[in-house]
Amino acid sequence: MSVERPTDGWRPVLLVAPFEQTSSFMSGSAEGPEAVAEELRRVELFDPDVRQGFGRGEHLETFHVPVASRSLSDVLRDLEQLAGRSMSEGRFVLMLGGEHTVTLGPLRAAIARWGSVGVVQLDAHGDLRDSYEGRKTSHACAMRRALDLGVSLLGLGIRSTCQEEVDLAAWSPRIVHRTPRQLRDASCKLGSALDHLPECVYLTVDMDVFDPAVAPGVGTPEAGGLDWHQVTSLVDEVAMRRRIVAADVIELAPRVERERTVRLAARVAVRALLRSRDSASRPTSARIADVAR
Amino acid sequence: MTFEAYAQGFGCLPQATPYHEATRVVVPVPLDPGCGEVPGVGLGPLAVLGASRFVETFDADLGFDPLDRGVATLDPPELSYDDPATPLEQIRALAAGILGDGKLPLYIGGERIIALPAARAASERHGDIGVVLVARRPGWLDRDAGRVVTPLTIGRRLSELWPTLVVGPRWWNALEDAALERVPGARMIPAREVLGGIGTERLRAAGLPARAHLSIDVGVLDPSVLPMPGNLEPGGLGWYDLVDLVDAAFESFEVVSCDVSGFAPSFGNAATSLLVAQLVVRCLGRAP
Repeated sequence: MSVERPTDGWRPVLLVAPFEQTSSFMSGSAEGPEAVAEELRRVELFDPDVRQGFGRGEHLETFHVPVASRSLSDVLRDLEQLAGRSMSEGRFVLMLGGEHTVTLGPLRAAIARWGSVGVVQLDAHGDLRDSYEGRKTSHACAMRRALDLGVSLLGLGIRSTCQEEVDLAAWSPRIVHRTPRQLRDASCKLGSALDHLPECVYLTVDMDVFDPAVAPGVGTPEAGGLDWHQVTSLVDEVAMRRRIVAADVIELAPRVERERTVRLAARVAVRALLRSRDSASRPTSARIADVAR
Repeated sequence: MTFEAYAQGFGCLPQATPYHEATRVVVPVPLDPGCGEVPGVGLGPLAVLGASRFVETFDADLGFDPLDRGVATLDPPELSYDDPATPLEQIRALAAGILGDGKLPLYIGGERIIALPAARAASERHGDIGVVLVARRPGWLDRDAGRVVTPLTIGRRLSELWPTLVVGPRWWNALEDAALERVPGARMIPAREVLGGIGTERLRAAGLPARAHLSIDVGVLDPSVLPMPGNLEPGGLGWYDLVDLVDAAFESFEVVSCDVSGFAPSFGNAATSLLVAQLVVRCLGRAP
């Protein structure tokens, strides 16, 4: 399927999906999306690093997806339909989750829309188990289910995996992982790590990719994570070398240090939006030239 | 403990020096006109002085204890908030007296607009000075909700009066970004360029006069390093980024006065007050 590059009237849509059913450590990821959506209404959508923002007239159109007493499959179906409709209207979809399983909804829509789609996953965990606690749709299996959809995967900041996940990542040519240590040693440059991904990518940012000192309010904090500058430089490079067709910011559980963790997630969302807009406006050849420079 | 802190001076140490013998003077300035983004900055000086008795003041890098070199601590001034200009004039007058006695004042704020009266007094005493403003936000606006001097305008006010270098800001809005173009001689090194350390060459390249007032808004630190009310934006400096910057500033310029401001204590987290007290010790050790 050809890749469209329309940018005139680039308008993002915000999907708020506070779905939480399989949290295994600390609960609270259902509280994250509304908190971040509210923060995005409150704070100025300007990023000084990028020196861009969204003007006052460019409000984020927001859809709140009902999740109460609903099954995961119903919620994913709604998310897929909402995201698919928005994408067909030329809108960029940014979702706020919720546990990581919700990624599957807009990801399915992106695949239906663009065909070959890769996934860039910023996360502390591989989320590659085939099942966890008896469920195949656990948050710990989200990327395994994404692989079932045929995508290729780049996991960044991954530092907590089980043997099954390590074996799978070693065996599958569709999976590339980079630990925080590897990223630090490479000055957060991705190099060939992106090579296996197609032109269109779905960006999913699990907030536990950050170090717990930076983002204390997450469901499954893991020591040794990335900081703001590392995460944003990775997002910047992905956007420069690929077209981000949809994105999500998920797994915020703001029960600890709520204010600053929510602010952090909101800033991540703004950076993802700005860089996705950039990536949509730059033709592939220019993007390649940028990298070469 | 608080009264004791004031009574004994910064560090609550026996080596606290009488004013007439001191070369450096710590001035707690609980300035809080209610114009900033950090609630509770008026409580900062008290918390820092209280914490200072628990700080090990020997500076291993320098090989001496800065408090052995004559540090006096003043009582906090009673500030009047009848109009916005009054407390700033009170601080200027106090600073002028200390500078007139040939001593180096180190103010513990308080709202970070303290930089304005502090620099004014330094300029009156020493003539041609520059200002190094280490801050989380540059403050390029001309007016902030109609007010002339607030943390959102302080970079601009300082730049209008003296060559000013803003170092370490990590967040500002579109209005400030646009205003940057309209501030004559605006100089800025954002946080991203300070991470990992900044050298003296970079600071000297800003072209400031040899003498400077150094203003340190502690909110320049990342919230993971200094969690406090109002310090929410990610991407701030680490502790060593800041102390390297402080060292470089003292090495690059003859710092004639200094403020450490913008601190609001986090109740239940004594580490933040200790951190600011350690920063004050660092500055006292580097002061000429």
